Amino acid sequence: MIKKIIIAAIVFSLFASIVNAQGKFYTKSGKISIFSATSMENISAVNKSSVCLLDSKTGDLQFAVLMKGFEFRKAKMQEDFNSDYVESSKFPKSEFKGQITNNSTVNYNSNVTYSVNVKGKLTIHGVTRDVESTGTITIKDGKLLANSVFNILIADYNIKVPKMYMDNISKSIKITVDCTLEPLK
Amino acid sequence: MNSLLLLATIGLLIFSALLWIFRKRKIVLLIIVLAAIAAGWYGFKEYIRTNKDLGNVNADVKITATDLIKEYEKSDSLANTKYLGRIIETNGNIKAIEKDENGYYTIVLADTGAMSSVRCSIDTVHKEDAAPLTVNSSATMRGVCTGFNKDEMGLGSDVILNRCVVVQKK
Repeated sequence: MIKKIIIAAIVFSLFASIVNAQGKFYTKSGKISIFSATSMENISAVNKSSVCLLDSKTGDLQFAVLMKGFEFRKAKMQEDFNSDYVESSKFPKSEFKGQITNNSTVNYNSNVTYSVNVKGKLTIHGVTRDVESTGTITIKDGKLLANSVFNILIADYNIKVPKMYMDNISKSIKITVDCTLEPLK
Repeated sequence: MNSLLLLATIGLLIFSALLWIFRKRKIVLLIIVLAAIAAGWYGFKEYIRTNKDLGNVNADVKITATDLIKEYEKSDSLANTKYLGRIIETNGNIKAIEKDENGYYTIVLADTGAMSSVRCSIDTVHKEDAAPLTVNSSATMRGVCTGFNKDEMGLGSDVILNRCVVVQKK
């Protein structure tokens, strides 16, 4: 009897872990870009080491980005960004925690692109705010491509730009998310 | 360096003031013009300066991947004061080599079986460096430490190094 229970427990836990494995997708090399466009100049930077975790069952979506990991073409911009604007020594990490609100419409087993609505809390520069955005999820050969473009206002996150650079840096920053997630084993 | 520059500026100002008093005003104007040109040149150089290629620089810190992870796991805020933004040279076992659809390489340094790792994102200029590397061999990487992703999602913790180059064995 005890043997049977143990076997049943093992089988059950195995089964549970398989189901669980199919549920989550992740990456540690997601790309998140920021873009500022003004009449003076366009500035862009990309972070290639963003962490993203998506639970396909619940639609829970999380991102973690290290601010020092944004690469600018010009070193001076990168240094100003880190030391003066986002103060990355004080606030090394930005995070998003939220949900895909229309997760039930996404079939994670078919090779189709779905439009999704995402809602959650975005923390940058130590300030947390509710954000909402749209994006797409494409399931392709077992991998999951997550893309989104949205804008944030730097004033919302208490990021101050010196007067001297007011005209060079947009008040609204475009954020582009481009992640390829793999199933979590 | 900065204090030296400040001292030189103050000296020049006093010198100019003296010249002004002693009616050598043309020389003062010349000094002002030259200073403006120097400042402009410096500003321009700063503006076009790109990130340093880490292929031929000395590291600020040399540490094994295992020790680096240990320090971050003990206290990431303390480790950040020592390593964040610095050039780190680290040696470890290659647990995985990841290449994405854009051809970007990430070398994962960790002991076999360990959940935590040092993730080295290879500088795109140096991506050829990564090609001959093999999993489960030892490698030394040099890169800028951009921080620690503490395990909050059940994916394992990672120290991130950016703009990495593979340090060739001599």
